[in-house]
Amino acid sequence: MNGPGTATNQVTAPGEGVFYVCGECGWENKIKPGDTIQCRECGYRILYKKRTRRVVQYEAR
Amino acid sequence: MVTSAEEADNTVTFLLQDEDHTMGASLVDVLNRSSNVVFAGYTIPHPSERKVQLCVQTNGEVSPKDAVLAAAETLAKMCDSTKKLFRSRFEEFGNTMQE
Amino acid sequence: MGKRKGSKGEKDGAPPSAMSQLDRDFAVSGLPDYLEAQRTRVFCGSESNTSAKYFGSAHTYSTKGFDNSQTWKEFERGLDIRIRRVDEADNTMEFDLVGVSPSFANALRRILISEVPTMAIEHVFFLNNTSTIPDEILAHRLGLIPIAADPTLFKSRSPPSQESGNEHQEDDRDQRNTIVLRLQARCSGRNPGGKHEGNEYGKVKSKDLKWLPGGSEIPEETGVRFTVSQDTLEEFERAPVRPVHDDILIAKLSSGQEIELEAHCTKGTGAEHAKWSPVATAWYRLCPEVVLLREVKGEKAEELLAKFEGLPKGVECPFEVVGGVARPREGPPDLMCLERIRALSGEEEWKDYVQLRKIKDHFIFTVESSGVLPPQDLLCTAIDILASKAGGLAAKLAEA
Repeated sequence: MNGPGTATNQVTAPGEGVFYVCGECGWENKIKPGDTIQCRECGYRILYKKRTRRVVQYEAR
Repeated sequence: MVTSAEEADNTVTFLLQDEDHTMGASLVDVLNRSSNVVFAGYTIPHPSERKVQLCVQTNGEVSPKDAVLAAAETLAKMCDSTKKLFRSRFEEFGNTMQE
Repeated sequence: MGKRKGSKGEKDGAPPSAMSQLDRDFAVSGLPDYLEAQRTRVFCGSESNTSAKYFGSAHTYSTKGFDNSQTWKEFERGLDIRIRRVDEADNTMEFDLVGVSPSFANALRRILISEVPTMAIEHVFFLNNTSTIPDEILAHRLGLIPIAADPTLFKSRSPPSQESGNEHQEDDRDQRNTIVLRLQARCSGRNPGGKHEGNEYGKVKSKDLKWLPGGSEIPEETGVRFTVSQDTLEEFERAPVRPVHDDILIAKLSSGQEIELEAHCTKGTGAEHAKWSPVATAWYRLCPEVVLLREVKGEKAEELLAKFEGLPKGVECPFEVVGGVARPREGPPDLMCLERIRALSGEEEWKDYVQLRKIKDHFIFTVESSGVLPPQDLLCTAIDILASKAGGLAAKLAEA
């Protein structure tokens, strides 16, 4: 079953940093825990999370 | 699945599972074309369920079950005739188009 | 058609060449004219139709000494099929089915729509979708795209077995019951680092769906594992799996947006979901007939023709004047003038002359295929399905 440390899931806290997309200019900012929430390119303060990499299944109905 | 219940002389109601108007109406029609069948009708108790009640009354010469059996066989033969005729007419049509 | 016990045949006094179709029917059956008309024709009045009931019982008209029963052999003798039109570009076929009951014609129509199986996209696995179209909308659209694949080469997914409860068997999706398609589209415009200007739309069309004969590229996620590649089958060498149409618009992408997914097709029927219906759609109409109840000649005949001026191009007037006498043209009147005839038959001046009728056992069938299979194959499959239903019932009764 899935648990901490398995290859398909990243259950561990993202100490490495996650990419967030700026709402104004579209630049991908790498934000680590504790960082200021601000775009490094244009200073805009609203950042969006990127779509998950997990495969999502839908029924074509 | 087919079950049946005898009500009166020569009258049987069959319950056909997993069927609808496609078979119900066709069977009733073929049954009515037989002179031994006095009454043939079908009903669908509830539209959400695929069940057909087929009621058949015969004149005694054949049993209702045999009448339905004959009707089913006749319907199958009617399908074969139709398919054969269609195929030959379609081929003819194809040939005339080529000319 | 029924038969009279010991009928003579020809109507006395009328030479065969002068007889209309109805007269010939009357002559053979031996029923009085008015009853034969009621038996075989629907009368279309200006307000309502009458005599629409189909008299299919063996005992109807028994008081007249008329035997309305029908054996299979008699059915075969009375059956006629005429192909009217086959349009290969449009995947459409129009034909006449004569000498059958409405329930038989309707059974074929119902089976064509909901019980002839085809292949259609059922499961969509998204690896990425940054377009403005939500996943489920894209999936729904993909399901409705007709897929040109012969359904007889595939098996249906077996229904969930009792032991495993409501779940399908996990390991039974392979090359015998699944088709794998891949869609990958990206609109390259300015890179995500810069603002984009104007509208630069990338159109994702059905031709972007690529067939993967080797199976799923992400089997751990999809559970689909092919043991043999599908293109080794000779049927697929002749005709690879592809959507019927290349130009169906699936989605529009702006710069930087991307769609990457795998779409799996399974075998199903229209009864479960309309995407699996092979026809777009199939229907029939009763063959119309226009009749002159009394003689119309001279000036009145010209008046009658004048009533049909201004018909659309290619539509012929339903009447013609020969030797000063008006008579209906050979063949059924065109669809475009039926309502004019009907209205005319209601007018005070014409109601005793003109009548519109429909022939109760003459069906003009149209089958419009969605393109997955040619319409003639669809009809033959539908007939086979009806035959197997009937045969199945006969077998169950024989063993009980």
